[in-house]
Amino acid sequence: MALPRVAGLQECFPGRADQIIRVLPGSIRAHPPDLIPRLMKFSLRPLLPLLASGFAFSAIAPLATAAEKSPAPAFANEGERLRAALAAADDERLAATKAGDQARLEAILSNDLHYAHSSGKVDSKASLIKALTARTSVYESFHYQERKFTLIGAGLATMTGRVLVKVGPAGKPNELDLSILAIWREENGKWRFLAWQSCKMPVPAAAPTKN
Amino acid sequence: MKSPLRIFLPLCLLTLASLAPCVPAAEKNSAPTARDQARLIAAVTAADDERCAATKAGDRARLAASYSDDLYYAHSSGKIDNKASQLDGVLNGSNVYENFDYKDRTFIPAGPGIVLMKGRVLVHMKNKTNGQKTMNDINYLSVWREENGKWRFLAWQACKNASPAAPTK
Repeated sequence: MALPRVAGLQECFPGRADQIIRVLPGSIRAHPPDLIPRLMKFSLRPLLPLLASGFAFSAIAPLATAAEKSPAPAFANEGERLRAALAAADDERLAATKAGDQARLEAILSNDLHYAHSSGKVDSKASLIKALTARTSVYESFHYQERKFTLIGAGLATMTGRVLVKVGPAGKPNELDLSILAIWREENGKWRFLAWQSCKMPVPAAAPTKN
Repeated sequence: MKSPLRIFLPLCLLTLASLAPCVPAAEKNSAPTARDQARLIAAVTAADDERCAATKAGDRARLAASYSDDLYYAHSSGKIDNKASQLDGVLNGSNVYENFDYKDRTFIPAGPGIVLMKGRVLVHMKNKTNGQKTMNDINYLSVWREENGKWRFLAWQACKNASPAAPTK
């Protein structure tokens, strides 16, 4: 009996379809040719969409995983989408930092965070969250003069630029004009803040041009 | 009702079986072993040693090979260079780099082909004209990327330390 061609099967098991079909009960092969259509008519037909989608998925799945593994996504369109996602993630980081919101900070900061302040102090995730939630460091505002995201590899991006920050003990903020390099990493499908080094600019910047 | 079930169940198994090889393929990028990690860090350490040596030697060809074409180099002074302007600065600037004395140089593998380098370094320079020596005590964050099998210097942000450097260990 000629084996039916099953979509997706050959792709995942090249040259092995025969072996798989062989494990099917002999009854399929033994039945007269008209029995299978008759069986489908009575009982299998409602299940056809389910089966079809299963086979269709199995054909598509290898293609999807291959695309995800590619180190260089199609930057023309994909790059724009990723930069928008990164900007949203950084906006959330700033909002959570200003609010000193522990849950939101836990979610946006990578567990491997390295945060080097322009003062020379270096924070881990735990010590940064502690300072922000205890309000020993209060960030009042961030005004980016420039914020540029560059995709540097699969699931990794740099954020570079310059930002005016008002930070200090509550009610007594200092104004900092910072040059920055930061790293964002995609962790389980979510962009998280991995590393930061800032440096005070020698000359104060002009008034903020944009938020 | 027996026969339909005998067809349906194997078909379900077939669907699952055809999916099975796709799952391990996606999970092949599993955590590297300790030995992989050590080899990776040794390779990037060698690449950074070469960058420092090429900087001290003022060797354009070696620096060009060490720097990524996408280099972003932010000095502690606030100046920002790309590859061309950084090469020009090292080769034709007013100072020569005499020594890089690392107080801390930590490598952090961050993902496929990306390693972060961070820490603290004392940079010793000498003015080409008057011979005056200066030292910058800086904290830095930097990014290395593997490009065609070679580790190249991709990004750098330096920041002068306010406090004097700790005594050498």
